[in-house]
Amino acid sequence: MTASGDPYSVLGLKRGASHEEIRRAYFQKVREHPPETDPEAFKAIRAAYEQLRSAEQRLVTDLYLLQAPPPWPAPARPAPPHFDLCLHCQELLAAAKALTDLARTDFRDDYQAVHLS
Amino acid sequence: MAKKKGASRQARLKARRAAANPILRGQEALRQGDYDGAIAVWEQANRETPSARLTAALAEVYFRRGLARFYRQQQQDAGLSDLDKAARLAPDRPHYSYHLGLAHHRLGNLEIALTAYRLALDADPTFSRAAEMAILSMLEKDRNPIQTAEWKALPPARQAELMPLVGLVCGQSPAGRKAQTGSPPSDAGQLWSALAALQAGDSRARDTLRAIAQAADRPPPVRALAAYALGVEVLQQEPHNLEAAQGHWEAARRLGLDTPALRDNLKVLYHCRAEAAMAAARWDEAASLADAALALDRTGPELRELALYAHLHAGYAEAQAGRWGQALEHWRQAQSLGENSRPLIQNLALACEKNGHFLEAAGLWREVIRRRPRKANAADALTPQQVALLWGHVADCYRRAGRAEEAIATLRNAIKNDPDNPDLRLELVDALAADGHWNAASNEVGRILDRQPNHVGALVRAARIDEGDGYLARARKLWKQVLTLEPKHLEARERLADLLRQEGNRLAHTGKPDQALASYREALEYTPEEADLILDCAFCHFLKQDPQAARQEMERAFALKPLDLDLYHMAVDLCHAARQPEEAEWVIGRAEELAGPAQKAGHLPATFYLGIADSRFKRHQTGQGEEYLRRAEKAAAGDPDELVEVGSFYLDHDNTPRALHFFDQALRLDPEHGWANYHVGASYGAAGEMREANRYWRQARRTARKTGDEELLEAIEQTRRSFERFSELIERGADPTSLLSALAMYWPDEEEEDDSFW
Repeated sequence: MTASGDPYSVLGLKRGASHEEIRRAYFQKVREHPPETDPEAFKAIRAAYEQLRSAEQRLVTDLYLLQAPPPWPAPARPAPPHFDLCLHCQELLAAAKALTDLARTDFRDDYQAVHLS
Repeated sequence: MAKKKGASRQARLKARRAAANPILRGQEALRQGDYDGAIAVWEQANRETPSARLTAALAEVYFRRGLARFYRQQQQDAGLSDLDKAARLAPDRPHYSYHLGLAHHRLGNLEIALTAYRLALDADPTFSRAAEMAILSMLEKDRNPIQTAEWKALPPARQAELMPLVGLVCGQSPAGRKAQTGSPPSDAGQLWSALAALQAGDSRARDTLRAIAQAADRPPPVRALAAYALGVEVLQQEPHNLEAAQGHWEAARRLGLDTPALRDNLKVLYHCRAEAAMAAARWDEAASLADAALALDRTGPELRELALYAHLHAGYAEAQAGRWGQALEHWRQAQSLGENSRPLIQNLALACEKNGHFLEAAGLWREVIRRRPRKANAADALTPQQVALLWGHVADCYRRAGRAEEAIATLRNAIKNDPDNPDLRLELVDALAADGHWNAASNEVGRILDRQPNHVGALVRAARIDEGDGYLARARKLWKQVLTLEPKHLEARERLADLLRQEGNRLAHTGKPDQALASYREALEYTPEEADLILDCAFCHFLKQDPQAARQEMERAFALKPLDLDLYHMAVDLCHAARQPEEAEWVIGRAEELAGPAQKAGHLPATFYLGIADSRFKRHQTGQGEEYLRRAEKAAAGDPDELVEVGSFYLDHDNTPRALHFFDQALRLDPEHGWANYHVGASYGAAGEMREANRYWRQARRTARKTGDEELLEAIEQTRRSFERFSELIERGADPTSLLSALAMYWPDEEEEDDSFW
């Protein structure tokens, strides 16, 4: 059972499936996951069926379903990436400057003693 | 005395002289960091009596003030002015011109900076710092510094180190001197050489760059550029190896490199990998990569769209896996990217509920309702019943957020817009009832029934309200009306059966067994498999002096639930209540036959008899109680768990010696029995023998940990603390009330079991 509780997914159905489709899917799933051999899965299948078996219950179930996102419109042919593979002066000089006094703000070691007396 | 006076007079004279001496005043001001003060005094003094030394001192103060203003006080113009003044006052000191150049360089005034550096070199041709900065400013202006005076002012080793950098920046392979042998290249020198070698196609440089990038003791800017270059090189050699390039470029960013080329390259890389992840349905990865790209540049519409879809899908996948917290984060991100569709709002509402944000969920569900399609034949149209359900859900969310009044107000507003929707009114009834507004709920139900007298939902609510108000006859009538309309209505059947049973109990209690029997039989029509009700009928037969009919009823009940020991217990109790001890024996016999074989020991457990004994003792039928106690003891023989149950029973009935007898028996059979050890320990504790008590509790604790018995662990802890507290109080000579409180605190009363009707 999906932890989100989507009964349609559990029964392998699309949203809007008919009552007959729901019934058929339920019995099919129970055959695949009988309670004796797969009790957990059976419980989930049964719970999903309970949420869809009556029109009234479906009314409530459909109201609080997770909404699937629209499919991503992937580009038919993605453009190859265009990288700038040069070493620019900017990168070089940025590193060079960071190694000089331009990266400092404290220059007390350049103070000179004042001798007046 | 005179000497002392003289000494202090000298000090005062000295201070006065110092105050009068501007040199000393200026020095004091400088010492205290008062540059303004020092400058004011010395400027004055220098005007009156110009001196070279004073001029030099002034220059130094201007220099220091200039640095402070420029770098610490963000007064760049004033700082520049001071540095300029210092350089003019002392042109022979290269540092002042150098720092003037540095300040201009920082502001991007490269020509002025270059001039200042040259002035510094004029003052001292060996001042290599100025030479290097001059070369750097030339490079920034796209000028080749080789052959300049500044270049010649550099030591040869330094020239050799900077040569590759010049080559890279100017796009040439300058002929340069080799580095002096014996002097190891600096970090930067190694970097420039490695970069130049890489550009020239020397793949060995890759290893050098890797070593530089990973060396923790190198300056971060050096490592950053090495990492960036590695990323560039990877893609030059392997255009599809985006992951490796990403690793290098991210490392460069972490180390502080932040250039447009790096940002653009990373953005393209993230975008490309995000698309690949989307195509492979790796939604979470796609979302992370898209977000990383957007962090670099939020403007691209394609990228924003990609990120949006990634978050929508990632959120959906997380929700399907039950990870609602992550789902909520993804969908909030989608919202921040401008998505506001109804499906997203609904998903957000679901996720908010799952995460306990009920107030937010209420607002979102309202939005879902507000945005519903108005045409009935639309694909995701809602029926009026669904709309009502949703409004009820909104109200429920408000209630769970602690806003009951808002819940009610929401529903009232909804009703105003759709007054003919009975389901909406029903939601309001439930909201009012949940908040204790019974009269208002009743009125609202009345409004529904006025229009639709056979509305099942309204009838059910009306019946509930009447029951709550004690109008039981009215409630029964309403439940029956519900069953007329919906014969299988479960709640109606159960409530009617319960009301009839209550009536039967009252009649039986007031000596009207025939009428009581009629009520019970009617109740059984609604809940035919209620074995307790059948026993009620048996009791009526006893009251009518018809034990045979009573037995028949009891057999019917046992046939429904042959393994239910509580049922047999109830039957025994009712037999004793009817003063039919031989029938009670008969019940026990039936219990042995029907339920005994299915029990753990193959016969009725001790707890069965203990339960009956307890009932007898409560009714002051001590003789019968003792008899059942004997049977319990017999049933418990050989079973440590059962022996402990018997012991506990005796404890509850203040017979500690007898209790201990059974705990000891249990320990003989199972020395590690948790509860037996606990109780024996407690008895030692009560006797003040804490050492023994702790010995038994240690064993009990071991067993409890092995079996995962949290209840036992807690009991041991509480009892141990209680006895320790008790001992403390005894030692302090506490009064009896405190002592009792200490004990009571750690031995809370157990809840009394409900007495049966009999």
